[in-house]
Amino acid sequence: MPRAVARALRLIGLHPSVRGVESHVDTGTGATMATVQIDANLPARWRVRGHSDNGVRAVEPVTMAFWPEYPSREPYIVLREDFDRSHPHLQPRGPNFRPEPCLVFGSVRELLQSRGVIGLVDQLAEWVERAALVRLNDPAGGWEVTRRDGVHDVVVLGADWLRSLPNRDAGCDGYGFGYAAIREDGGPETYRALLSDIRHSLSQRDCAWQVELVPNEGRYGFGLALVAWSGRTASGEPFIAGRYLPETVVDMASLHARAEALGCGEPLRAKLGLLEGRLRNRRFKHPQPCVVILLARRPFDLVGSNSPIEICPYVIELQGNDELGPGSAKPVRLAAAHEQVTPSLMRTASGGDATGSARWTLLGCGSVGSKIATHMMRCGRGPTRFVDSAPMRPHNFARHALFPAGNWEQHQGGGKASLLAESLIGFSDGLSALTADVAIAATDPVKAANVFGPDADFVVNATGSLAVRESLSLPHAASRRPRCVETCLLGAGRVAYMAVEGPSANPSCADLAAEAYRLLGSDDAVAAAVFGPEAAAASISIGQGCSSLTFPMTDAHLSAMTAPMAVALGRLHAGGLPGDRGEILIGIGADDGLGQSWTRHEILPCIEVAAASERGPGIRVSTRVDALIAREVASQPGSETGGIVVGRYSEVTDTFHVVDVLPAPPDSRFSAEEFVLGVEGLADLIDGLIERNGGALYPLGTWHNHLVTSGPSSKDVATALKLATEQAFPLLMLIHTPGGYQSLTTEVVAGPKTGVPLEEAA
Amino acid sequence: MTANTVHFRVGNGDMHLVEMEGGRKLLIDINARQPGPDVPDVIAQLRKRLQRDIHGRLCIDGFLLTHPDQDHCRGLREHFHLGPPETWSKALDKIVIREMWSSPIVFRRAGRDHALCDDADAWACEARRRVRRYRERGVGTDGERIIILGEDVDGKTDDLRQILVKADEEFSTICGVPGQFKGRLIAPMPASDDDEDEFLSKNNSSVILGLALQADGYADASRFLFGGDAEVGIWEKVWNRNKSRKHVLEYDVLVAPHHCSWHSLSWDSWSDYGEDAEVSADARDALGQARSGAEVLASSKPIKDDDIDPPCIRAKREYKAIVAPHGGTFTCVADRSGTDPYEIEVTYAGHKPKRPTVPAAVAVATGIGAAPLPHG
Repeated sequence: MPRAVARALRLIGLHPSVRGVESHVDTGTGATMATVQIDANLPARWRVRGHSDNGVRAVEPVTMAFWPEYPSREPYIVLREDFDRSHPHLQPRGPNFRPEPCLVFGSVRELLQSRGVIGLVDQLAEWVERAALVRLNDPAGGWEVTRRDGVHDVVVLGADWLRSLPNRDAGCDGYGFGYAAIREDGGPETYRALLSDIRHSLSQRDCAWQVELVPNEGRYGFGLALVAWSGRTASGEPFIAGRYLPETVVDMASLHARAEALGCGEPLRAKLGLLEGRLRNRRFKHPQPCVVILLARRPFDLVGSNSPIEICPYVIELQGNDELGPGSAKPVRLAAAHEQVTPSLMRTASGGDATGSARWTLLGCGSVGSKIATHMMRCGRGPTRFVDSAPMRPHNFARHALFPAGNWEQHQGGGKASLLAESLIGFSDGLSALTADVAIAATDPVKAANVFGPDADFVVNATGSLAVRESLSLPHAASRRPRCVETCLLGAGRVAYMAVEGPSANPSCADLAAEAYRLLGSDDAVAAAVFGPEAAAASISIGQGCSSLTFPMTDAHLSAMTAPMAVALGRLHAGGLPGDRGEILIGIGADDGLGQSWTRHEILPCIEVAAASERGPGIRVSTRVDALIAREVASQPGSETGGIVVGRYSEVTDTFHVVDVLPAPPDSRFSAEEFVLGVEGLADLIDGLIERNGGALYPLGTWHNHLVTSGPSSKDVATALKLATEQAFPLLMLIHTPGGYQSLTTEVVAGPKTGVPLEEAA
Repeated sequence: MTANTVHFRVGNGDMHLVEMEGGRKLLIDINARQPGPDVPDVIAQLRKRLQRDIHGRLCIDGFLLTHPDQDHCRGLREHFHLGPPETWSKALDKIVIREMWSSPIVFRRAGRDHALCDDADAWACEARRRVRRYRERGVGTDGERIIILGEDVDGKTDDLRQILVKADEEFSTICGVPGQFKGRLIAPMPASDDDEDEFLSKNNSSVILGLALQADGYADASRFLFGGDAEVGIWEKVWNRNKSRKHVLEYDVLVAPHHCSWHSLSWDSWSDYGEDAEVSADARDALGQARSGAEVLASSKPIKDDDIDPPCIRAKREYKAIVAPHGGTFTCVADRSGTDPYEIEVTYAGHKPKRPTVPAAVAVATGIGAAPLPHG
C-alpha cells in the first residue's frame, strides 16, 4: 500500500464521524479499496430504529477506492449497491454503476488538495447526514428536479419561454428545432438540438424534413419538438404533479405513462397520433430526431429556480412508419435541458437577483459605452437600443469591446452602434441600433424621441461629449426624455465619473456635472489630473481628418475604471433609480493603476429660481448653496450681507448652474440699507479658483439679501449693469429675501466700449 | 427549516439559547464568568448568534430566568440593557431583552433565606419596572415586554392576566407573535399554604418549562424540558400534580435539573449516603418520561466518579438508566473538547447533536511544544 494511502486511511480512522475502516489492496488494479463506516448522525427517532425514512442507515458503509496515483488523483467514492437511487444528489451514472454521491458543487480533486483527506471525509459525513434528511417535497428548500441517469442528448432551450407556454387547459404544441447529430471520439451519435419558438404545424409540408450530411462531421437538419403541459383537475384547480418519481422513461409506452402521470397524457397522445399518421408509408434514409418536452407543474418552485415548472425533454428517433402509441416499445432517450443564453440565465449565473425590468438606451458606443453595455449584457441587464454617430475606426479597437475583423471588413467601417448591437444580439432579442448625432437630435423633439427609443425607462450617456450633455439638458428635451445616467472618464482616465439624474431631470446632468467639478476641485492631485494642463496635453488626435480626441491609455486601464460603473448601473437597474434625488459617483485611480477609491455623493434637487423675465436665462441653485446663503443671512441679523456666486453658465441651455459661493471680502460693508461687496483679496481668490479647476467653475455674479421681500433696487440694477460690461456672458445677481429668491440678469451684447445693457429686468 | 438549541459551557450553571424555526430566539439563564484559559467567552459566543434591530441594537427576543441564583443570571447587568429601551447606549452596546420571562419571585422582598445577588436584584428591578409600565399603559413594545410565569400568592398577580401564564397553561407567543413553539408551564405551582409558600420562595421557585419546538413544519418535532434548579420536593409535587396526564412531562431532551444534582432525585445526601442514598420514586417518575431516543443533558462541569454533587455521578447513572430503555443518550455539555457550546439541531425526525467537524488546523497539528522533547 502506498505510504500516502496508508496515511490517508489512518487519518480517516481518526475522524469523529468514522466508526471504522477496513481496507485491502486489489491486486488487479493496484487500488486500495477501503470501506469506511460513516456515522449518519440520524435524528433521535431514526437513530433508535437504525435508519431514516429514505433508508439511510445510522452507520453507512462507504467505499473509497484509492488509485496508485493518489493523492494526485482523488479517491473514487461509492455507496452500497442498495442505497436509494431516487436520491436527487447522486451522480447520474446509470444502473450499471454503484450509486456515487455528488459531494461538492465543484471538483472533489480540488477539495482534496485544499482540505486534505480529512476535509473530504468531513464533506462525505455531511453528505450522508443530509442524505438522510432529504425530503423531496420541502417547500422551503424547493422541489428537487427529477434525477435522470443515462442522459444521452442535449436540447438547448429558452426555459423562461417554455415555462410561459402552459395556460389553463392541458395542451401540446409543435415547435421547430435545428439539430446536429455528432459522434465524438468513436462514441455513440448524440443529438444537440436548438429549440426555436417557431410553431410547427405537423402538416405534411412541415414534416418533409431534409438532412445535410457533412463527411467526418455529422448530420444537420431540422425537426419537430412536441411540448406538452397539464391543465386543470375536475374540480377546476391546476393539475399538480406532486409526487416525486424517479425517471422511468425508456420507450414510447413509458413516455405515455409518464405524460399521464404529469397530467398531459391526452394532448400528447393526440399529437403523437397525428405525427404517426404523417409518418405512415414513409421511410427515412437517416434517423429523424423528434423531441418531446413534458412540462411538469410541481407544488412549489424548483430548487434554485423561481418557477414550479420542471422541463423534461426526451428524444425519439423516427425511421418512418413509426409506432408512437401507448403500446409501442419504440425506444425513447433522455435528453438534458440546457438553457439558451437569455437575460434571465445571465442574471442567475451572475448571482444577482431577478428584480429590475427597466429598458434602457445606450448613447455613445465608444470604449466606455461598449464596455458598460457588455458588462450589463453579461448580467442580464443590457441596453435594448444603441446610438452613436460615428463609424468604427481602426484605433478604436485599442480599447473597444468589439474585436477587429479581417482587413477587408475593417475597410468597410460600419457604425459603432450597429456593430456593437450585432455583436451582443446573442444575449438578447430585440436590440436596435441607430446612427445619429445625439447632440443635434436632442434639439428636435421628434428626432430626440427616435434616439431615446419609444419605451426606454432611462438612457445612459457614455458619449463623453459636453455637447451631448448640454443638449440633453435643454429645457424642452429634459422635460420629455427618459432620465439620464452619465458615464465618462476624465483626466486621462485617472478619474471615472458617473452621474444619475434626479426625477424630472432635477438635478440634471448639467447640474450634476457642475457639482462634480466642485467636488473634483477639492482635491489637489485630482484637480490637477482633471483640469490641469496635463489633461489637455495628453489628448491626441489620431488619423488625418479624424477629429476624434482621445486619451492614450490601455484597454486594461479603461476596463478597470469602467467596470465599477457597470456594477453601480447594475444595482440601479435592479433596485431602480433613486426616487427623490440625484447621485454622483467618482472613482479615482491610483498612480500605479493598481487601485481605485470611489465616493458617492447624494445630490438633492436644485432650486429653480424664477427668471427675472420670460426670456431670461434659467437659474438653478444647488441646495448646498441655498443652505450656505441661508446660514450667512442668519449670521447677520438685521443687516444685508452677500458674496459671490460660483458655477457655470451654459450657452446651449442659457442656464446658470450655481454650485458654490465665495465669501464677501473683509472690507465689505454690511448694514440694514445696503451691502457693499469689498475687493480685498478677492481678485486673488477668484484667480485661484479658476486656476484650480481650469475654468470649469467661475464667478457668475453676486448674491445679497434683502431684509424684506422685494425685487432688485435701483442700486442693484446699477451694479449689475456695471458688472455686465466686464463679463463675457450674462451676469447673475441673486437676491435672498424672506419670501424666496429674486434675481436680476444683465448682459452686454454690443461692443465692449459702448457698455449698453441689452436686457435688464426687474 | 429547523430549530436549534445552543448549550453554553458555563460550568455548574445554566445558559441555553433556543433558536426557533422562524428565527425567534429565547435565552434561558446566563452564567457569564470572566473569560479565561478554561472559561469560554460565552457572551461573545451568544452575541455572534444574535441580530441587530433597525436601531442597531443587538436583541434577544425572550430571556427566561428560571430563578434568581447567581449561576443563572451572572453577568446580567454587565451585558444586558436594563431600563427603558430609549436609554440604550450605542457606546455600551448591551443586548436588549425584547421580552422578559420571569417567575413571580421578583415580587418578593429579599429575606434571610432569599438574599439576591446584584444581578438577580437588577433582574427583579427591571421586571418590576416593566410590570409597572404594563399596569399603567398595557402591554409594552419590544424592550418593555414581560410575561410572568406562575401566579404569586395573595392575588398579587391577578391584575396581570394579559401577561401572566399560570401553571399548567400552554402558550405559544413570544414578543406578542406566534413563535413556532408550544410552551407549557409546569412550575412554579401555586402554593397551598403558608409553609409551602415559604418552601417555594427559596431555591425551589424555579420555573420548570416544557417547550415543544416546531421544525420543518412539524409542530412537536422535539420536546425540551428545562428544570432550572428544582429539587426533589418540587419534582415530587410535579409528579403528583401531573401523574394522571404524564404525557405533559414527556421529553426528547431533558436539561437535567440543578446541573445534574442528586438532590433533584433524592432526599438523601450523596456525600453522606453514597450508594445507599435512595431515589425518590415520584421525582424519578417526573423526570422519567423519556421519549424514544431521548437525551439527558447536564449543564455542568465534567462529571467525575467522586462524591461531589453537583454534578453527581450517581445522578448521571440514574438518568442513563431512565433513557436506556428508549435508546436514549446522556451528554454533559463539558464532554466535548474545545470551548464551543454544545449544539442540538431539531429536525422533523427529532433532535440530533450537531456533528463535530474537524477544523482545518487539525491537519497541521503537531506534538511539538506540548511537552519537553529530549534530543540526545
